[in-house]
Amino acid sequence: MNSPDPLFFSHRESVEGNGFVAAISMRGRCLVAREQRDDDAGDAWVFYGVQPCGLSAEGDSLPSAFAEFRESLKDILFGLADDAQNFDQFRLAVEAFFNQADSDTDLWLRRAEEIRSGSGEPVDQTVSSLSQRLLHENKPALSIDLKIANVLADDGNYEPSPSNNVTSGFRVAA
Amino acid sequence: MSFARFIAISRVWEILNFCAPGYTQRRSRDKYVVQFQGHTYMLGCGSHGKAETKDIRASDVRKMSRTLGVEECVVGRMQPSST
Repeated sequence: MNSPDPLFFSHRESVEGNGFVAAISMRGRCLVAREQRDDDAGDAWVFYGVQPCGLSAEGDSLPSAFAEFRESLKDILFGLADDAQNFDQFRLAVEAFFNQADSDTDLWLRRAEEIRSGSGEPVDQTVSSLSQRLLHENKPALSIDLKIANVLADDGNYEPSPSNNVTSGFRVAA
Repeated sequence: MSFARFIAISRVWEILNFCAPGYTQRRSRDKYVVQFQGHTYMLGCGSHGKAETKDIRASDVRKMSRTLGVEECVVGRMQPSST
């Protein structure tokens, strides 16, 4: 990974689980790097998760890579809902995923401090041109709110289920 | 350093067998949940409704190696000359 640029990102998602609906809101940290491909496809923009650290995503542009990153994050949250028997299990799994750290945390802090001190501006012009900046001392944040609980289908109500969680996509009309 | 853009999933498992013996993996939606020594990484294996691929992005494998704490070994074995 060439010198990546440190970013904060925000993400909010409603996730259905077994008998519950949860609203997840996070302010996370990630690194973005522009990396050369070994084919003729041009550079790739790569988002590397920092908090949460357990994912990455790639695209042909900054927006497309971020869209892929968010879809990946959504897919992971949906997978955690698949595995959870109840809201408490889901909450613990999301917290564990979000709070895991790896060596990219140190790199993120170092790059942010370089940008603060002026010894290293964002490497990429697209990132450098982003007008909104947030002090890197701001902590990542995660909230997981239970919105609907213990809904039973035999009451005639809608029953939340992980099977209702679907990622975005498109298909050819024919 | 130049890497191939994609790595065959079978090769990823070979590398992990060498670098992260005892690792586990299971499928969850469009991801493989890879776990080793208490660390978890969500390795992409599809793309949100598009056809599943047998190839994994090299950048995803490198990031996985950092999260699992086995970067030096994995990156060394991702070199084309490494067999």
